[in-house]
Amino acid sequence: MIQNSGRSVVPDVRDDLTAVSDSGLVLALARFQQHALGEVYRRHAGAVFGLAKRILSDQARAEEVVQEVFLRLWNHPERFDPERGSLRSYLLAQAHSRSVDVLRSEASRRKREERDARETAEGGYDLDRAVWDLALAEHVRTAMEKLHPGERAAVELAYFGGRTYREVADELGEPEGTVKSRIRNGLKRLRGELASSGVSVGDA
Amino acid sequence: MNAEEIELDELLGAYALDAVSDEERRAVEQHLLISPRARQEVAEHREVATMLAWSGMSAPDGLWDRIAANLDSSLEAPLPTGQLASVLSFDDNRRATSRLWSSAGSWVAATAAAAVIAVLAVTVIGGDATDQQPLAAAVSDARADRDSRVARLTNADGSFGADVVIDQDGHGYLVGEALPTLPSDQTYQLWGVIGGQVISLGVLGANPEIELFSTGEETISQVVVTIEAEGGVVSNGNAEGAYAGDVAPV
Repeated sequence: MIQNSGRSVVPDVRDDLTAVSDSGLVLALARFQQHALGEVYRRHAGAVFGLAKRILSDQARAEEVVQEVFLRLWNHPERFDPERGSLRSYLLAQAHSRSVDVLRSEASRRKREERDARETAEGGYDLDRAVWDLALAEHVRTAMEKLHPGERAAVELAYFGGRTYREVADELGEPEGTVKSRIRNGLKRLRGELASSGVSVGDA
Repeated sequence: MNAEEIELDELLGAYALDAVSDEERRAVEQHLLISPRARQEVAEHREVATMLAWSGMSAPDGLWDRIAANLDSSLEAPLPTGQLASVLSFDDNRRATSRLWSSAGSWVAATAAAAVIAVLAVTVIGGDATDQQPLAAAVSDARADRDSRVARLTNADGSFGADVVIDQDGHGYLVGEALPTLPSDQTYQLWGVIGGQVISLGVLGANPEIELFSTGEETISQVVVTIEAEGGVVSNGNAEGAYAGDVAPV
């Protein structure tokens, strides 16, 4: 398992919780055990923050999203359904949705488009960000590179760009139906590529 | 599959990435309610998105402290409403070690005849228990520990259904290999009595093997497994066919 690097920013967590499954932690959360939330934070906050930061490109707003996601889990642990996916997947879906909401506000969109224009002028959309230099990120990047360029662009713009598929279609000059299919097929192909390289979501 | 379903299926990838309009999102969510296959596809897309999101970043210094500080005020958040609230009552002191989504009455597990069970929540467990071998080893270790506690669950006819082992750290294991496999639209659900209150410890699925659950710092006195409709219930556990047992030292 890949561990977060850098200075310790994690809460004080009881040692005996480190071996408890995510589902067990959520059960403990339902009983107001704050140290259980601390353990969930220790395990997943980095990924949640990373996604929010990447979508919003704004440290302060990304931190707000992280706070919202974890407070929401604290207040409504019953909304996590392990049968629908892992806890990390649930938290990231929450973070993504909230980040996109923020991004789609008019002011945010204007600011981002101005920044995107600057980035384009400085060399374009770059997947090779420094944060992608860990082993898993390498697998993901390799899988992304194997996608059809149209699929890759559609997935990236929708997920990291926070665009709707219609906005992606407009941006790429492609029919909406084509983009819709490319997102779906791209995700399916990514899953296959990652599986064939021996990576499962449990590694993330 | 009709044309509308095909059209909605085409949206599943974009939906999983929050890349649809509000109207389309509502339509897809209606579709998901009736299509397990579509739900599975969305779950798979979101797991892929989880991989894409991995950045290896750490959360900023001090962020946890701000969240922890907000937990205190969030304790005053509105309580659940609607159906859940109708069967649940809350302890006023939410700082206590337990949320105490408390029971409507005491558990009469010895006869497996409880008609009303008020619970904490329905939590599906076993999601991390796909690999049974380490769990079997953990059960063996827990059984060998004299500080562990165990329960033997039988039904009203006296038929054996499952063993439960709870180690001294509050890790519980249900060994349910003797439970008959249920139809796919039913599930076993695990309940525990903690301090006179009945809580759901998890939904086990139709064919449980070894399932892991957590009891935290609390002591469970009795354990019950009921048969429920798929997804489990938050109250009124089904007494018919239930298995129950007292938790006792090894």
